Amino acid sequence: MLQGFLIGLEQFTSLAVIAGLLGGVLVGYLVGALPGLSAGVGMALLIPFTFGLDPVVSVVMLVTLYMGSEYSGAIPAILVNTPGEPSSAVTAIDGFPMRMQGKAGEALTLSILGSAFGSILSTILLIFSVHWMTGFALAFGPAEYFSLAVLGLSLVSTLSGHSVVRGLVALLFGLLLTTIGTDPVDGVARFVVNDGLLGGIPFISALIGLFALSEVLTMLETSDEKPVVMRSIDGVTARLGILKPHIGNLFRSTFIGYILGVIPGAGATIASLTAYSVQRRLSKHPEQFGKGSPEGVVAAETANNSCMPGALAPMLALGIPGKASTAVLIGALAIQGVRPGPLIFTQHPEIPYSIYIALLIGMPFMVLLGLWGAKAWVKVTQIPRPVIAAIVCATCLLGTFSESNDIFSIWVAVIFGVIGYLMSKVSIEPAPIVLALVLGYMMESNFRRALVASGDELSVFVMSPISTTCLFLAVIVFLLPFGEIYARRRRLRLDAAAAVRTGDL
Amino acid sequence: MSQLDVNTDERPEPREELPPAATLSFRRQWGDVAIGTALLGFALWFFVTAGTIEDYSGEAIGAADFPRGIAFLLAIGSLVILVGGLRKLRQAVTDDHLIVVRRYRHVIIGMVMLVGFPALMSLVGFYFAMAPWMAAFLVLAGERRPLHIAAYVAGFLIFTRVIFEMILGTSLP
Repeated sequence: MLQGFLIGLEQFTSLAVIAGLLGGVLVGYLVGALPGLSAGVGMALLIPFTFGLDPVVSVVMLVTLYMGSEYSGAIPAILVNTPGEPSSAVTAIDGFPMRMQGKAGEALTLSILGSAFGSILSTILLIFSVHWMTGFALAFGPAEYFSLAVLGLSLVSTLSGHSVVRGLVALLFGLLLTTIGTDPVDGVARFVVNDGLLGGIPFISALIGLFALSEVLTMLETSDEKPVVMRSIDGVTARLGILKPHIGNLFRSTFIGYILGVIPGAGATIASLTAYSVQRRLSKHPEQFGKGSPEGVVAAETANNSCMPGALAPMLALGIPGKASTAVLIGALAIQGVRPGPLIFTQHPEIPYSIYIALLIGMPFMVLLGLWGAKAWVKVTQIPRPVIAAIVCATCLLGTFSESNDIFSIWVAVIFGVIGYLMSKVSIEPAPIVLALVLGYMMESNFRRALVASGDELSVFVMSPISTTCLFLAVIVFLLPFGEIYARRRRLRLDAAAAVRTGDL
Repeated sequence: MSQLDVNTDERPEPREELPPAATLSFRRQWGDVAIGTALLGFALWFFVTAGTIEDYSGEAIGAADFPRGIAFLLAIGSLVILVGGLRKLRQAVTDDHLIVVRRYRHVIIGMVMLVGFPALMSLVGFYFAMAPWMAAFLVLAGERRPLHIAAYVAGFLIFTRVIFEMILGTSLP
């Protein structure tokens, strides 16, 4: 591990890597502060800029963008009650009332320092847990990888979005799309209606379409909205002592955020909400929650930022993306010829260790930008929405073309943009589709390789304890929401029957 | 844009309501019927087309079997959405959620413009396609000041030339 860190540190002697780190944090702040643009959109937009770069510069830029955007969403959430990121909505519950009470500076200071604490502690957790997970993953064969992919996808489809059925449909839609192109075992062309599809659906084009172009169409609905006017912010300080009353909250929220980050599909919003609810339950002043409680701001922001290193753990150790943002990261690494998974530590040790170091040394820069640049980031939210929509759209079109120097990839992005927009109208989220696009190939190839190796014995998937456990957990994950729906309906029926009986009496 | 309602009586800087605009709204169930039908058709096409794929695996799981299995499952999932939508339409549920498309004409024109861009680019090349296209998109999105529009378009094209062509080495037609 020490040697890995030395390799990683060596990368940071390059000016290009440092510039990538600073650029990533800055773009991350910009993306996070702008409502409507999420970390996934920002990363998808940045990927075309990384094609010609060194893999380390590219990954450092994307990871620090992810980190920066996870925090900066809190700034407009606190100051103008408009969360830049979905997960910052929980921060706004207490952050905005604090601002209304004239405590904007305190709320911002608590949020940035809480974020920094959560991010650093969870990066340390990431380093040790990935080390452990990698050792475990080296024993994986095709059957285990298939079962793990099934578990990951089952978690994603059930945890993301509002409806289990819609999550599953999105997932199956994505999986079906991955079967387009050359078959992974026999090399047969499947569903190839255009030669451009021989290598499968172009991932970056699909990603930009689903995340960014669909968002541009959504922006067109509200691009006549006037930006919010912001007044002065005082009292943003770097006093670490301000965190002293929140030590327990900080540790608790970090662990909650990290664990929920590791679980595929759970995400920063669930982490923030969970940490917020736990803190309200444990607080001596639960009545202040929702009315400007500093504890609420600390819990939400710490958990939100701890989630991000957690999400990197399954990606680095197993090659499994649990979130849309890590799926984007896997796509970006694939373009550079790097495949995340246990072998990355022997084949490309500079990548994971550069990620660790970027997270640790990017944090002080992020804190400084947050503490002294809050007002500037709020000004960013005042950029006219038509301009944001047009620039994002033009960058998407340019970026998709530069992926393959082929106009066909723009067509793919446009089609996915329209599909993503229409699906979002019926509450079908794009995240499971993107994750399926990453995992589908791995799932099918491992499924068939396992069968070939076992002489077509399906029992190969239940012969190994790891595979059996993953499949068993996947079944539980699939069935649990349906059980909950059944129990809720039964309770409603019983309540209705009881109400009728009471009425009769 | 996400916005929260916070319990406070005093708001010195209240957010302005969105201005009135042409809005298309319809019952959510119609959306379910439409998307369910589209996905069902998509799944059926894959299921049927999978039958034409050459199979070298004999009795074993071959190139067509995985997509066929996924298509079958997707067909079931889309049928659940489709039938659920149809059933709720017939039941005339009162607490109906609406699908609302604000400024729907802008959205439709935006989609048409997106489809038009690659066609235009294949005819006249990137720069000659992007300049009028971006200006038109800015107007569509709500920017009306000609000088600002010219500045944004020029800025983006210079950015493209410097970053993509000169620094990153991407050649644009």
